[in-house]
Amino acid sequence: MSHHKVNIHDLHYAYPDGKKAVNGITIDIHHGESVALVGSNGAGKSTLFMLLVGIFFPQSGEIHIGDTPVTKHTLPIIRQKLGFTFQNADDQLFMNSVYEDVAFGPRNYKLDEAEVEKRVTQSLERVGALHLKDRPPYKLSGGEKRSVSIAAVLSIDPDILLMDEPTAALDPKSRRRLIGILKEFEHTKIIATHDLDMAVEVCERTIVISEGRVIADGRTKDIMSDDELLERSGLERPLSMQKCPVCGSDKMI
Amino acid sequence: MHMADALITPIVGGTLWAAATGTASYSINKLQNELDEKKIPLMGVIGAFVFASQMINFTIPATGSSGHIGGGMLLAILLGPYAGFLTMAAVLAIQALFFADGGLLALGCNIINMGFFTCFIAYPLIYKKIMGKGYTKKKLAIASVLSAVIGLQFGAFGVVLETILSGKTELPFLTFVSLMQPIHLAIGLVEGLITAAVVTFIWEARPEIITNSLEGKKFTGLNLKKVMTVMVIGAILLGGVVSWFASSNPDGLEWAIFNTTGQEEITGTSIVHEVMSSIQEKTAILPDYSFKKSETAVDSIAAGGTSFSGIFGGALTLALAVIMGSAINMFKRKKRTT
Amino acid sequence: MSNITGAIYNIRYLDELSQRDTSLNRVDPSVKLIVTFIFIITTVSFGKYELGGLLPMFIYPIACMSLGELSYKEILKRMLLALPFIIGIGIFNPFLDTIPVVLMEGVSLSGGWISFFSLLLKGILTVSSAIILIATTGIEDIAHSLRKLKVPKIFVILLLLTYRYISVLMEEAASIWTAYSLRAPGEKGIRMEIWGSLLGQLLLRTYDRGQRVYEAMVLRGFHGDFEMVHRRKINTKDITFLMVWLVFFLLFRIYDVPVLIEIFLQGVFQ
Repeated sequence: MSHHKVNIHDLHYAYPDGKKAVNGITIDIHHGESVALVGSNGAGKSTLFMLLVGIFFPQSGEIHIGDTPVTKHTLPIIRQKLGFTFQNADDQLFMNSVYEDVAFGPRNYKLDEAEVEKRVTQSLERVGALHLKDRPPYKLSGGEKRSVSIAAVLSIDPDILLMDEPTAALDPKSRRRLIGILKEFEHTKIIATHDLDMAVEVCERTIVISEGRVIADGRTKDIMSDDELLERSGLERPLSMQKCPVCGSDKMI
Repeated sequence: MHMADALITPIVGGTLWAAATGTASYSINKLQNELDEKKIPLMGVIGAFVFASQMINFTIPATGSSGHIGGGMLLAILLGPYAGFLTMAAVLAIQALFFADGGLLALGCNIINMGFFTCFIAYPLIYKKIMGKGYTKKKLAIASVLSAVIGLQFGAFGVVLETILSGKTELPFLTFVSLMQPIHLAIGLVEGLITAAVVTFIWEARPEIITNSLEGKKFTGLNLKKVMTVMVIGAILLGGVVSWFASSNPDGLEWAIFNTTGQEEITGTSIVHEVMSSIQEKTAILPDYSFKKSETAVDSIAAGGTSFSGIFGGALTLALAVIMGSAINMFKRKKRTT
Repeated sequence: MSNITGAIYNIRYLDELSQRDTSLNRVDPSVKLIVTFIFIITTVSFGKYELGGLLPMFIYPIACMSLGELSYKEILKRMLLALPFIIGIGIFNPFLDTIPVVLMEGVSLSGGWISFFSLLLKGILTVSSAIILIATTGIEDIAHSLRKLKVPKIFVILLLLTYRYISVLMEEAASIWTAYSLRAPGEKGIRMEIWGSLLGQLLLRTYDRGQRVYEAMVLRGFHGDFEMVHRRKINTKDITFLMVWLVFFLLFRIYDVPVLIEIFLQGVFQ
């Protein structure tokens, strides 16, 4: 099962207005890895995602998902392997009921209706949202929307999950639930986030991006305790790894 | 100025439904030929945008009152005429369903009044002509205002024609026109100014949004004009001619052509609902049916060949209906408790 | 702005109603759509002086409100919103058409009043039937039946997407309005200088959202074609519903039921 991997080699991308967003990124992600992609606003995380899923194409460099290169021709295959959740779940939930939305992907892949139903039920169960299936999206809370948007990509049975800010705008309890769900997935995961505490819990590896370049790539624990690096990339030590403000003792895991 | 079901006859409603359907299929064909599927979600959200922005009130300077936009012209400018027309149709359909704004039968009228005239008359003949080859902020503003005003003038005229053709108002054509057009001149001006404000803002922020919609369309000017002329003339002729034939008893309205007084039911049933009319013919219940039956109803011979009878019977039927309704309710409640 | 909140509430309320499980909700959407259309056509095909004949048509909305367990009050409230335009146009009739019509012995009314009332009744009937339709049939079901009735897919998709994002965008419009009025207290509407930028900002955001929605669709295998699944088959109950109402409408249209009743009663009492 070595095909759930992602290889990015010397990737360059500039927007039509000339702004260079990705400046020679090289990353190899292995099967089953959980990787946090961190960096300040505008560092290039979202652009990198757009390149991974083939919404944009790089000016130079290569991306392989499994053994398949990302090109215009391979997009249908690539996209079936990738499950991409958007930062704003509303962008992703465009059908008028949860069931229809989760069924959207499988139906596009021409699965028969019995299989579609099975997939929808399973995906919703995995995120604990089966009871929401007949609800319209506007009736969901932020946390529920997030869960459903994850179910909506799980239903196409992806090998690799790409998530853009999955914990953004969630209340603490919903966030906690989401972290629990994320930890259970065996998929290869790439999570772009500012929520470093979540990264510490979910991802064993962290990649720091700044100005379109990888400036650090290593074990999450190591990176999150490198204050100089964090400062340089517009981040700060996650709360769970800060010294106790009262007694000053070290809380490091 | 949404047209309502009650104001039209089946024939007028049906004719305009046909016209709207025709224009919609034409637009869909055009879209499918030249367009990526990328535009569909864009049309959806922009349709929703128009819907939402209609709820925002804009203060009209020096009057103290406020107005909002109709959106047809904005849709045409942002999405091009074909996608704009379809989006307007979707917005109007949702308004008809959820807000009882206009009606289901009048939906065709509303799509033509607010979608067709903006997207297929004002847009190509005014907006595009003014824009010519190049864009400037000033030209955009003028084109937006002018095309919105003229589009709405056509729309208001549509309302007048449809209502008069349906014979639902006693207002003489000319009076009606001279009432509706000036009101809608004012409304159109506001709509035009808001549209211009938005369009010029977008032009400065993201010019490609404005230019793409125009350049993407390969307008076959002649063809389009032909289509719309045929459709407009067709609609007017069909409505006018049929109602002319139908009015077997023209009783002195100023506008004989549009006179359908008291006879709508025949024109309606004969075209839109053929089955019904054939039954009527077979059973020899003809246009003057209401006259005949009024003679049989003692003491209620009406003036002018029309009758108003059966007040008592009507009240009784209504009462029966209410009783029946409550009976169903009671039955249901019982069923639930047991 | 109460206007927007009211509209959001209205849509959601009707949406909730359509999710219930009542006898009318269970009737096939296409059948309801067709019956509603025929009802409207029959109603507006009545002559402008035929007031009595219209009354039996009320059986349909009344029966449907019972079958669909809808509250008269809520339907009435929505109906009132739609009537002003009809009244505005019809109100001239009483002044222009003054030929008297004898109602009963000694009582007469001008033709204009009769045609005005008939217009009003038609307004009430047509509007209520449309509200009943949407209150017992969700937009998704309507979309499916439109597909069954051969409406092009592209339009049905457009309808669904527009409907879906109306909620989202109305909320955004509402918060923009709130933000505006908090900083510009006492204003009824948006000031002219910022017409463009206020609506324009919302539009730009909408435009980008459109782009993202498209991407979200494409990433899940969208290729210009929506798969719509018909989950429901028409059964005998649906056919009965259709046939019963068709027969009713036809009878009401051909025979002036109230007059027949009066004639019958006169016969009885003689």
